[in-house]
Amino acid sequence: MGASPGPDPDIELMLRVRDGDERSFDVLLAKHRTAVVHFLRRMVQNQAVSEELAQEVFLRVYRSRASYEPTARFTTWMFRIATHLAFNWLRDERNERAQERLDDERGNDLPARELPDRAPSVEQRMLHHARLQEIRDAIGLLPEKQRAAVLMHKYREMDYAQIAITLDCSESAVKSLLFRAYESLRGKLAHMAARVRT
Amino acid sequence: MKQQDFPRNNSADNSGEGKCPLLSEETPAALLDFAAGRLDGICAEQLARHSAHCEACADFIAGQAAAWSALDEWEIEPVSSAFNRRFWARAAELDRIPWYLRLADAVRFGGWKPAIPVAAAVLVIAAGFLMDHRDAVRTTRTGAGNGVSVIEVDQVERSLDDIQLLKQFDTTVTDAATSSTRM
Repeated sequence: MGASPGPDPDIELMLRVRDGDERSFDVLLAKHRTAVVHFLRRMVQNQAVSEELAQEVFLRVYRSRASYEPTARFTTWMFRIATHLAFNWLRDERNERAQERLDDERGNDLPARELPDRAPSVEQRMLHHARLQEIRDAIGLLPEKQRAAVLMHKYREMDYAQIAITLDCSESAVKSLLFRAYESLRGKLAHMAARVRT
Repeated sequence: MKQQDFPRNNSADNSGEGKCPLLSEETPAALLDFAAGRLDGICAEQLARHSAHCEACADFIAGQAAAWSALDEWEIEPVSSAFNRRFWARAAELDRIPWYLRLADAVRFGGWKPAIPVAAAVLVIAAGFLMDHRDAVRTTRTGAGNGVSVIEVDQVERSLDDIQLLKQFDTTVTDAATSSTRM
């Protein structure tokens, strides 16, 4: 994992877990579950799946406690696992959708897969949901690696080095990924801010 | 907005405010950081001065800030309250599952990719071992086959010699017996 870890309280907690202190893992869970679930939620755009994948992330971390060696920041390691799982899920989902599309072409008239938002009751709520849908679509249309880079950069405030380790690429590649991703997002979302201002 | 979309002869290039980051060879990550408010002192000041003169950079920063604030609107539902309880239940359950089922689970979650080079390496080693071993067996078999045939030839020759000797001996005995009868 390359990067030299600075003082990281999560590493201390994980080392305690390695020594058999399960309560320390409860602390890690409480501290990071929201970040991991939210990251995965934005990656896979499905609440139930994101919680399921987050469970798997923490299970993997917990299962490797006996052999844990602090070679990188704990969060970098954790998000690397999360990203890996999200990529795999998206790959499987893509394959499934391709299969569904084939089935549709054979005359199956199923509606397109919808996100689990309920029908709004008032106009404001409708507008808000429409805006959110626009944002989700803009993120969802990004290639997976760009999407992961943006989510880590924007919502986790990770630096380029951390994102590079998580995505297993160079820092310059991360900068390039982010530049292209934001370029695409600016094209799709910049009008929203203008709409708010007017 | 691509780099080449910006005018190459932008006035900011010659304004003494530094080279335009959008026209540089490297990805202008500094502008992203600046728009996100994550750039520190001197660099931020330089970019602020530069973007005051450079229309392209000003547009970039405005667009980026707009996209950035739109992304801020995307809030996520809170994590379910049973998350920790479910985690510990699964962890306990996992401890009871045999290792081979856990391995299958790891494969299901995409852990099969590293297994491909490992499997390939095992196959190559096994093939190498078998080929090595087969050569050894072949050598032994060939060696044993030659030994048997040499022994057989020797035995046949020896037997033929013995038969000839016996015949000669038999002839001698018969001749002696005939001459003694005549006498």
